[in-house]
Amino acid sequence: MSRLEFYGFPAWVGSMTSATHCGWWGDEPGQLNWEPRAQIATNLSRTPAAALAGKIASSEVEVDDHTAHGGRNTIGPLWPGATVMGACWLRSSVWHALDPKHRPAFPAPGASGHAYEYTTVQYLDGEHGNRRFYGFHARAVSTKASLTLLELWNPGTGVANPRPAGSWWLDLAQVADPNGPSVDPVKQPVGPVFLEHKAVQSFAVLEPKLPHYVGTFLFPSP
Amino acid sequence: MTSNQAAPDVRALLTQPHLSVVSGEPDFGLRGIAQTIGHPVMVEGRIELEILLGQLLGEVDRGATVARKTLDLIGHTRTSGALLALGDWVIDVASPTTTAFFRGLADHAVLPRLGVHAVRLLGCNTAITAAGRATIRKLAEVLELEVWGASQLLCSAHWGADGFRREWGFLLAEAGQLTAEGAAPPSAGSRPPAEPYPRVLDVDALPAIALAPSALPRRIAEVAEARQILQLVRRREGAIMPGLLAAPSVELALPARALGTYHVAHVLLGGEFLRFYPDGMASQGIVFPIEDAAALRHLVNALLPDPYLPHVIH
Repeated sequence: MSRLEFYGFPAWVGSMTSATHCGWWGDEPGQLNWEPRAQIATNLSRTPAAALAGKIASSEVEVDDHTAHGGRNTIGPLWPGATVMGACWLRSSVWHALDPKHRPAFPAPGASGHAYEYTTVQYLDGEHGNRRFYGFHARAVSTKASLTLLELWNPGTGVANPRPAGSWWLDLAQVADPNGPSVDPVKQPVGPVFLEHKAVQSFAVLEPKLPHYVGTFLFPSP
Repeated sequence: MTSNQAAPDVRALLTQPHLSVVSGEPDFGLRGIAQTIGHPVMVEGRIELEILLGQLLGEVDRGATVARKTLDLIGHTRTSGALLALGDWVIDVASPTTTAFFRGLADHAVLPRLGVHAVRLLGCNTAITAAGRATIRKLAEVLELEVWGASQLLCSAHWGADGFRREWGFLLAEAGQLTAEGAAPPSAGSRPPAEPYPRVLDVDALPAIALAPSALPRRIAEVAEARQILQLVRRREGAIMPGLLAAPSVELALPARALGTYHVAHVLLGGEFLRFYPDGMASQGIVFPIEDAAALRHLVNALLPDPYLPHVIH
């Protein structure tokens, strides 16, 4: 079973070397003295969609897909002419392997949410093949039958904003990542929960703000 | 002004080249911008902006010095149409309230009296979408002033002690430069906004309707039966239940105060939940858990059916 995690970073593209290769900074370039070595080299074509299509192995996935292709990246996806400031959702293993001297902090400094609110889980095969889960800050209020009453925060607001975005009755056995953390009104009322993309599409919640000053948009409609 | 902010030196604001009004929502990015600017004012909505402008006019009437300035409204673009929000107020000319507010400013020449020669909507991409462009053009027409928006992303580096820095002016577009075209805002589909906290069931606030033909089996309750049913409802745990789980099995008609009218509720998941419609029958409905599903089923099965056909829920 291939279970990949992607971490969302603000991204400023500093170089392009092919239609899909680029280097990007995880902080405002002025803050990094425009240091070229601090750029993270990424091939924007090495995505879950490419792995699911059999074009690359799951081990070769580097980055999430662009929003136009079902992912959460907003930089790219093709150069030149594409967006150069936005979000880059980098595979967690790729981030861990970066030179610690130039590895951007996760979550980004000044983030208004917890790290898990900037995390996506993607399955590529096995019983959960091609299921996607988005991280939320949640509070479990109560349960009834198989359902849990959850207060959910817009991703990326769980630290700064005391007010949740909404309350929903959800069957977590159906819509939460079975291999991820979860919440429970008694044992763990507040914390992370990873909800399936298809379920999230029926909520009126906003995408995380990356960079943090960017305007927010609703998750794509089904 | 926000409660956690010291009252601004109103007279000093009149002498600045920019009157910077920052959205007071809980957001680190906006707070950072406010800290960068020498004389910011944070507001949580339209009312507070109105109060601020009134205070400034009072100072003008008392003889304060007035410099030529821009009114910079600084916040995030919160909607799918990239419309600027100040606290809970979205600046959208499709809202009659918003249009009336700006028309009121124009009718009383408020902004010119404060030295304001241009209004700038400083949020990311405010001049990109069709809705954003329409808002900028309409405000320019109403106010008879220059109105500017941002054609790209804005960040804290674009502000200095005097406000929005002049060298980043190329990121802005003026109403006269904008065409009606713009990127179409992403569709929000049919998803209604949710309430942040669980809803409380207020029976008296439910819509009272005359019964019409229903595609669902319907049961009609007398007053005493309705009371018994409502006693089973966990009234403080209402929320939306999205998806296929929300398909009802039976419609309940609970008598309302006016003769011949009813409050409608739908039985879900074998009586584990009841869905009420406090926001109108066309709304998505709010689902409340039932303390004892077996007791609800027993009560419902004993109710008078409509149109007098037996319906049993399992």
